[in-house]
Amino acid sequence: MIDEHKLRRPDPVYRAASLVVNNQKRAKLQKQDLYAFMEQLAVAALDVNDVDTCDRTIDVLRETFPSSSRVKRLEGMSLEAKGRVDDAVAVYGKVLEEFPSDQRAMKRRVAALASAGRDKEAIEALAKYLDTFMADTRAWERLAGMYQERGAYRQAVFCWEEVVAAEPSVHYHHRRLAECLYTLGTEEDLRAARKYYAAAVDMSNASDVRALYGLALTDNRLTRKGKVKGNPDQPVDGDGQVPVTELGQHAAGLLRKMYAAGEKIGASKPGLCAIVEGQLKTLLDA
Amino acid sequence: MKYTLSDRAYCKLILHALKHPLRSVCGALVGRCDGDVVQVIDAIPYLHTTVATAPNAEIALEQSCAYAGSGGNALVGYYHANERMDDDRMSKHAAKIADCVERNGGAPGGSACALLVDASALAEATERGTGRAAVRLLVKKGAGWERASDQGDLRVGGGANAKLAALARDGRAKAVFDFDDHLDDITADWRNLALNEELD
Repeated sequence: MIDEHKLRRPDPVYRAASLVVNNQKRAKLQKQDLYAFMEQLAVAALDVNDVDTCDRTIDVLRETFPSSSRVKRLEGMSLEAKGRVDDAVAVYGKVLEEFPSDQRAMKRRVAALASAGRDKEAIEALAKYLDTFMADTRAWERLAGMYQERGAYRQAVFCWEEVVAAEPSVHYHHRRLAECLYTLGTEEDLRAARKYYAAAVDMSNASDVRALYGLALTDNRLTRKGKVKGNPDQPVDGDGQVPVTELGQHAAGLLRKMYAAGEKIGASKPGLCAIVEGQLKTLLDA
Repeated sequence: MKYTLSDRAYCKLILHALKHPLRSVCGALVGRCDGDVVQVIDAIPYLHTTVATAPNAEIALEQSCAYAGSGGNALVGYYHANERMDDDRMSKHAAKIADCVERNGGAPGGSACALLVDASALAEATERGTGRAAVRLLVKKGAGWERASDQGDLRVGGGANAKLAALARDGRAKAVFDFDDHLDDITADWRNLALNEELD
């Protein structure tokens, strides 16, 4: 189930896979399933810092599949866990020589470079990977994050746009694009951020709290920019009709309802409503 | 300037880092100034996902500042744990948030501090409860944050690591909620009121 949902939960996987692999007769597994579980065990073992179990499992797998790229990838991961990142990158390089379109080896190489702090190389490698495999949305997300870490927000926006284009009905993609635009902070970016925050609120049925706050924050920024420019009037939206703070006010209303409901049913301890109210007032002069 | 770190603040920030071992985490330090000693009495965990973008940090700063003020305290510092074990720098984004705390918080000019979790001391501190405190003190020098030349300026309680190890063993890292958790589900309380009682 963990595998199905692509989660990373090393502790339960490690325990369960150990049990299954060490009690093969009782588990009554097919050979195919057994090897898949061994692979999961090897990876989980690395996450819980049991490199010995990982290496022993790899040895067994290597005997059965001597020229497998999957096994070689596990060897690379074991080297990474031991801190031998250059050796790991070399292993992935060899796999790619033999299997030039092995996507997982490419991505492992990026991960190894990133974990060694070789960020620039990791970004280059991931960008090159996406030149070929541009439908890999998770890879676009990762690249966006890496650009953000380096402060390259414009490039990150490009990546988030790819993510939004690939999965347009997922609210938090819109929201994360908005967060990146907000961070850039020019008036044009803030107006764009506002649209994406609004889309996120719409798609999530107003349950995306970050997007609701985001609308209030964005409207505050736009208002301040308007005042700095010396506009005596309230800054307005694109078509010149709607005052800029309308969305922010609406979002604030929804937030207030949410927090009040939380306190009312006792799920939240008292005090938060007042703090949130304080922030919303400051942001929207409400 | 000298800094004292309460058990509550120390344990909470380390548990926050332990809860998210694969990511960088950050938060603010709450306390008050008493002459030339800054007493850090609490930590408010901020983020474990979006440290590099602005809006969520802004929400966290504003609300934690109000909360600290309501208790007669102020934001006196910032803490950060890097994603990678061997990374002992303050990243640009971490420095930005720390600067914000320093400018708008309650520590008088130049006395806000930053704590960077020291991964090399974590194992001993959290597994055996011994060894030095798993944090390094940084102070503002010019435009940047640098390691304080005298780490002895940071006083951590003698029994803090033992307490930390016991909490880590009992899996209490799971009980730390930060702003990111709160923004995912507003019933997750970043004030960690229940946990505070355990940590004191």
